[in-house]
Amino acid sequence: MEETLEFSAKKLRHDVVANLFKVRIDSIKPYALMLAPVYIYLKSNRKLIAVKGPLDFFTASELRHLIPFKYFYFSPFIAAVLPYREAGRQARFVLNMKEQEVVGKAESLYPEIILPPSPFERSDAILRIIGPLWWKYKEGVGVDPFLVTVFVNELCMLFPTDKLMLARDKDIENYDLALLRSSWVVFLCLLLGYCSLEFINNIRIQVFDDVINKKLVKSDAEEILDIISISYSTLRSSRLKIIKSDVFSESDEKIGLKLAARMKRVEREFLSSGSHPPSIYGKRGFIDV
Amino acid sequence: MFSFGKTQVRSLKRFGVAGVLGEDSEVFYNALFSTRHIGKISDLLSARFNGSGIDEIKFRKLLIFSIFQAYRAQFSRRIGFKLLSRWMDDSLETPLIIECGIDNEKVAIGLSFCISKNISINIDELSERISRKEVRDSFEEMLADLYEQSDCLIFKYHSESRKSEVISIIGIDGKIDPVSIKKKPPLEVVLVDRIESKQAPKPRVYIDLGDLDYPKLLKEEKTVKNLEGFSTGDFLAPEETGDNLVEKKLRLKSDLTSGSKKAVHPDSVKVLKGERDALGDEDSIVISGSDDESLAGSREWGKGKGIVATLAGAKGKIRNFFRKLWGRSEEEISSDLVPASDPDLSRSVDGSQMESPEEHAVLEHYLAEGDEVNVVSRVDDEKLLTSEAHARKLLFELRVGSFDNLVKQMERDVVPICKDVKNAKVVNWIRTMSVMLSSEKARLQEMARKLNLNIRIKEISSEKKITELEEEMKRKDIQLSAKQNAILRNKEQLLQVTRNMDKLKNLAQDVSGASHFKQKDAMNQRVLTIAKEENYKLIQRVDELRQQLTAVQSSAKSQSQIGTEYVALKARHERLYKQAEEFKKSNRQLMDHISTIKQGRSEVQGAGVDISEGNRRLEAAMKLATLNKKDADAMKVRVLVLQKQEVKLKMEIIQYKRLLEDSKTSDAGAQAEAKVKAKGEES
Repeated sequence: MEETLEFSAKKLRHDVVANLFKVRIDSIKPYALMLAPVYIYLKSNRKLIAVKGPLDFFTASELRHLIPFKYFYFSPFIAAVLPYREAGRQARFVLNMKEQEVVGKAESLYPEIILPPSPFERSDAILRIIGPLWWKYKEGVGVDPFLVTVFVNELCMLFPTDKLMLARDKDIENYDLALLRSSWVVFLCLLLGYCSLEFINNIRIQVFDDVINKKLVKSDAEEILDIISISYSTLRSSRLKIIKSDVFSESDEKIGLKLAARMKRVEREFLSSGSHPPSIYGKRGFIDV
Repeated sequence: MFSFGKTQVRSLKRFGVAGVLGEDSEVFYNALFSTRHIGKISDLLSARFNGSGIDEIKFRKLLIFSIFQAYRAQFSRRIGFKLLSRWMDDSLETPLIIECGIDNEKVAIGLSFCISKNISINIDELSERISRKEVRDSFEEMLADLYEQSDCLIFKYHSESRKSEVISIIGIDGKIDPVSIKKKPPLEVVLVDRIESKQAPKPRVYIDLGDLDYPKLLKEEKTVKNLEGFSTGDFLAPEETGDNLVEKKLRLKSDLTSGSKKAVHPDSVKVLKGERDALGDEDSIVISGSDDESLAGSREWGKGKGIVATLAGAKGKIRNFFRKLWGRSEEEISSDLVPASDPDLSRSVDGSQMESPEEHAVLEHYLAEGDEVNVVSRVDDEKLLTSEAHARKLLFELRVGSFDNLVKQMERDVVPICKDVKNAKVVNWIRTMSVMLSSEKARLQEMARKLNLNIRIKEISSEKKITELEEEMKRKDIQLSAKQNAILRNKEQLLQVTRNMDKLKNLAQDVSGASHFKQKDAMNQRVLTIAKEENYKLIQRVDELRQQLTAVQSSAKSQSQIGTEYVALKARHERLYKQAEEFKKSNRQLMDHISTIKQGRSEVQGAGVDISEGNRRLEAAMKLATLNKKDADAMKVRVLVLQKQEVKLKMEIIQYKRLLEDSKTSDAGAQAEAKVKAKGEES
């Protein structure tokens, strides 16, 4: 049986309000995945209670009912999440780049067009964005799968509402795993230079569906099947703390060798390090260990 | 076993080029979703392989050709195996994977793609057909082309999924064994079975093209230095110093850029400056919009001074500009754009008065047609052409009209007059006047020309403004009508709401009162609370059951034990159920009994009998009952005694009967009879 992303603090004392991050409720879009447990402040009870867990979403009617509370509150953990969301936005900008005309250049006597970046330029730019998302943890170089989901959630478009609702109603435990796995597949595709927004949106939805329906993913491309296969083997449970990079170098498959080669560059040039690597576990996260 | 070159082929049973290259090879890869940028990829790989000795043109040709053909084969999955007609929405659903590997003797270009189901692949004798160039369809044609251009070609195919890979190999001159190239191997067709081959042959390294130092690799080795000043120096207009030139340049530049974001080349600014001198301040006009550069070009054209070099770069755009604005033919525009070779303009500079026959004809045509003449086909430029016709008429008037005739007449008449007049001063004066008149005519001609240009520009700008204003008016009209519609809708809605309110009021009167609803609401709230509590209890119960289930699962009991336990529990449950039913029945009976007692009590109470009287009667009855009971007991004792006597008597009778029978049978019968009689008398 799969385990869900149960968070520890269902209620918070009112005196911590000053330390919490808040977001206006009317700025939240329906069916957007939440990045952390969401609290509302009950003035009469002088208490903060959780109304949604991480990776859950609000429907339009739920948001309408909650609008009188004005704000949603988030724990300080959200500060660790925001760089991943920002990276997602940057990556989307890179993948969305189109031709543009340059104006205002003094020497310009002819229409000057900046062409969109080539696939290898995009691949390089994307690696520069996703490289710093890898951290040096105690266990080794890795990335938190939940934070990968945050990154991909910002990069890709929102899931179709019917799919989300069905998935959550069908099997709430499998829902989290489907989100994490689909995001991890997208992340690996980006790491391998698959720089098409349309493609990664499609593959994300396809993997999500297949995990929910417990089916095997089908694809025309040999390498994509390999990516999905390696992603499944590296992310078996939704309670996995970090995905370590050395799983790629241990693989004899071509895809593992390619990923290992890219990770070498990440470790050489972009790896983040610090005393408190971001994680959903521990005091700084939302799950007490 | 397939081989090419000295290096042994390691594996063909997996997709990828690493299998056909040596262990020290480098493989560069990238994922492509369209054919855009393949030139850049070709540049990058060529730069990376620079110095390795590969034939660059052959490599580039094969690379681009391979990518295109693979793309076509995969793209045809949507639109058929046709030439691409669309450019913008031509992205593939799944990418092509390009791998380009190099070892010490050869380069391999591999492209993985999925062949359309519309294309039938016939593997049988494919290699022979390709070698003999007896192709059956466009796909085999593609393979044949690739085979021809490469030194060796491998086609891998997975029949179930139709995944394919084409690997084209070219040898590096001087490193590859020449015999290998001379004896070109036939097309190698490999049926790939993924299950059989798990381990992929490894190259020395896999490199994503994005990981290459492409800014350095693609950097031009020889860069052109920035253009400095003219080696022949800057030409200054009369009464102009170097300082005020710079100042004016800056002022003009700021004026122009404030009107539009686009800037103008410094050369054109210089020209403008000259124009300003000639026409005063009026000519510093900037047409706001997107054609500022073209306007600069038009100014240059108008001035006809030192702009050939500038026009060489901007000619195309200026042509478009004029074609758009004036609707003139390209030949006319070309002639306009080369003012240095324009005889008319050169004349205007040197003061000559003659016009070309063509221009004369055009001008006559203008005059003949009057204001309505329109040599340009565009109808919407009618106003412009009218003003242009006015300006040209003026020009023609200056050249061939009465003024021109007057000047010519004067020039003709001056010669004999000068011969007749002896006074040198008068002659000089006449000649001077004649020259001045000619130069004045040239000046007027030039001014008319510029006037023509300025009228055009102003009319264009005013035309644009009018169009914009008209569009604005239209937009506002639409907005106004939309707002009116919205107001009407709102009014209708308001009416509807009022009607609904009335209806609700009527309904409210019919209903007994609000208290009824309040009661209902309170009742509903209570029901809701109860339902919530029940729900909560059920949730708790579900949790408990889940925990029990988890406990049961974790204890890992065998299924038979669970079955036995289940049966036992079931039996127990049935028993308990029956017991519960029985209890319920007895409970019901008790309840009935209680209810009957209560009923009896109530009846008694209802009859109104005095309790004390009743008690007394009850006591009397009890006493009577006790006495009767004592009597009954005494009678019972007497009955018992009598019964005992009866039994004794019966026993005696039986004894006597026996004695009598004995006496009858014996001699002493008589005695016995006497005894019996005696006893009978005694009794």
